[in-house]
Amino acid sequence: MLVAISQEAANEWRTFAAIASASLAFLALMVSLANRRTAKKALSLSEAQEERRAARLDLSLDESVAWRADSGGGRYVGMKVTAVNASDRDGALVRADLHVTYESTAGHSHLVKIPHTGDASIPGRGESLRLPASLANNGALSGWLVFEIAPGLLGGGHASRYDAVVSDSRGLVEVVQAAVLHDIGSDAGA
Amino acid sequence: MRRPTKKIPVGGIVDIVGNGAMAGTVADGVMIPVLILDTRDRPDIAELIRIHTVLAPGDVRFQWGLHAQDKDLVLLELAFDRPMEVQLHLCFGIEDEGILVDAAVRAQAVYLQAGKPGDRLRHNVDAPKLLAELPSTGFERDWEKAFLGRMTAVLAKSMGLPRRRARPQARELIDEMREKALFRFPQS
Repeated sequence: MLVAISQEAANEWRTFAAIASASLAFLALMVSLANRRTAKKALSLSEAQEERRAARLDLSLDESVAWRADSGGGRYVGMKVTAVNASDRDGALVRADLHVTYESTAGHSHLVKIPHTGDASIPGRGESLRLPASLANNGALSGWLVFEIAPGLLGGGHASRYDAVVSDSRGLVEVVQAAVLHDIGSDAGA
Repeated sequence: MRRPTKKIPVGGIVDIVGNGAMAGTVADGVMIPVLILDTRDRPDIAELIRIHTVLAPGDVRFQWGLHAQDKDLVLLELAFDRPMEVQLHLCFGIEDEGILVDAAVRAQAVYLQAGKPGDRLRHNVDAPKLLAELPSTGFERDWEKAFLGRMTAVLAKSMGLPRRRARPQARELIDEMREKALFRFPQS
C-alpha cells in the first residue's frame, strides 16, 4: 500500500517537472525572440548611422564645353560638375584631372592625365573652381573644372573619350564622362 | 636583416640600346646619364617621353634593386603616375654598365630617351628626353658595396689575382671611372 502511494506521487512529480521545464523553455524562447527583435532594430539603427557617417561623394556632370584660346594656346575643355557630400563627415575636393583617351597616329591607344586649371575663365560662363574646395557634410558644391589640352599634346592623335576624375580629402575618387563637348568658340566670344 | 625581394618578369624589362651623359642646369651641373631605350614594343614609354616635352613634369616612383642571385645585375623600377601611367624595369650589368648606375645614383637622376637598336645619343642630341629624378633612398651604401665587390671579382678573374689584391685595384678603377664620367660643369 505504502509502495503504491509513493509510486503515484513520484509519477505526479515527474509530470509536474516535465511541464515546468517545458514552460521554462517556452519562456526562454519568447525572451530570446524578443531580444532578437531588439538586437535587429539596434543593428539596423547603427548601420544607418554608420552609412550616414561613411564617406560618400556623388558627382554629376551638368554641362561640358570646349573652346580654343585666342592667345594661340591650346584647346580648353570645361566640365561643370556638382559634387554632393551625402554623409555626416566634412570633406574637400582636392584634385581634378581630365583623363583623355586617344589614339596616336601610329594607331596605339593612350591615356593622358591633364590637371585642372584653377584660374581660368569659361567664355560666357564664369570662372573655374579653385581647388581645394571644402565640401560640408550633407552639402553640395557646383563649379567648372577646366583643363588645357596644350598644342601638340596629342601629337596629331584623335581623342575618343574625356573623363573628369575628382579626388576628395577622404580618399574617394569619382569619375564623370563627357560624352559630348559643346563647342563655344574662343576666348574672344566671351 | 633579410632584404625584401620582388620578382620581375623578364618580359617586363626594357632593353637599354644606347647611352651617354648630359650636363645641364639640373643636378648642379653634374653629368646625368642618358639611357636610350628600345621602345619598339613599348609605345607607351615613347609617348610618355614625348608628352613630357609638352606637359609639366609628373609623378614618378622608383626603386633600385640588386639581383638576388646574379651579383652582376642591378634593377631600376620606374612607375610614372602622371601624366601617363607607365611602369618600366631597367636592368644593368655592373661589369659593363656599372658606371651608368653609378652616375645615376650620384646625380640622383637619369634621362630616358626613346629609340631602337643602333640609336646613339650623337645621332639626335635634340631627341625628346624625360628627366626622372631619383632622390636618395639609402641604396647608395648597397650600391657602393655591390660595385666594388663586382669589380673586384671581375679584376681578380681577368688578372688572375687573389681578391685581396684585386680589391685596391678595383677601388682605383672605380675612382678613375668616376673622375672621367662624373666631372661637373662649372655653373655660369
